[in-house]
Amino acid sequence: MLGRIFLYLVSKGRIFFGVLFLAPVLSQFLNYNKIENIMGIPTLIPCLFVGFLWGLYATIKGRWF
Amino acid sequence: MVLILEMDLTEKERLIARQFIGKTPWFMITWWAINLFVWFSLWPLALTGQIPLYITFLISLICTLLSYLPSHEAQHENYARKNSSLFWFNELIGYTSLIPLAVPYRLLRATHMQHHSHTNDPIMDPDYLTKAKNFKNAIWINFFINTSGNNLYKDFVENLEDGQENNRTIFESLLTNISYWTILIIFVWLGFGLEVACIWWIPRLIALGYVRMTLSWAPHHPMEEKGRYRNTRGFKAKIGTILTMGMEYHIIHHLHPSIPLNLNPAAYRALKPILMERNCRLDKNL
Repeated sequence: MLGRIFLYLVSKGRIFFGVLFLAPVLSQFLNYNKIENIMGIPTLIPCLFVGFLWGLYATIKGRWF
Repeated sequence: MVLILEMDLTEKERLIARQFIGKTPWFMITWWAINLFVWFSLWPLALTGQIPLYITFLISLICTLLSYLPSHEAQHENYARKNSSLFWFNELIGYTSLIPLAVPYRLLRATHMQHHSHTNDPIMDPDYLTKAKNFKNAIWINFFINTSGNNLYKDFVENLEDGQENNRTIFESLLTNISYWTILIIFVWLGFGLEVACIWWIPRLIALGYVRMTLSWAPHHPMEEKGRYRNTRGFKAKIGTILTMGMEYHIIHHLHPSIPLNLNPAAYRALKPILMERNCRLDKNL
């Protein structure tokens, strides 16, 4: 049972990672470099989009690159 | 006659090795304490902006690279044995030294013991995933494929049988992973994304690859031979003993895991004639 939970989280973790971690870090990295908006939209929104898509890609492909 | 010579050699090896076993590994204990203190100190310093991000990253990277080996000694109960009243101290070092790497101690100990029992076995050795054709290929596999695949001993966990000990191993692995990501995500959403990335995320990714390269790939390459005297090699690395984290002498560790890491070079020099007689793999004139 525990083993299955572990493996499930590992298998779906990439999307969570993309949205909950990668996206805000990316957004804060852009802010750190004085980029507050992208085409008038706060950086967090496009970063969430990128994080989700990259996480989805990694889930399907099994790796990030 | 051959049998007598064989026994003689085994006895000689045992007697020499015994000189290096049983002393309290103060060097490794000091290493653990300083490393962990420095790493934890980075948190308040970085979060309050008292040190720049690139310094935070560099110091954290060094600490994270150095965090595995004190735990490795604990996996072999080199600080205190299971029946000792100080075994709690062994476990304390084992668990806490791995915090910068955020990997589960119990799982590492289980996989490491299996690695010792089945070194270079394509199915039974959990470290066989680090195998590569050459140095360049090893960089790609250990820094990118294995890290990107997020498959730290996934096959090992999948094949664990139901049992109290194994369930605890899985539970602690789960707890380590969930705790790590929960802490990171909380700090990121509090606005400290770059700080935690420099302290705990990027250094960890690099260090996991580096540990795989130095501890698993390099001393066992090309991972084709089995047997006590042939499954691990001694080798002279261009980057030296410190940057290979002492793994040039990894053959000593496989023959006598109770010898602490810092005594492996001396033990190697003392045992070298026997290793040569045993036809061990001693590459590049170590």
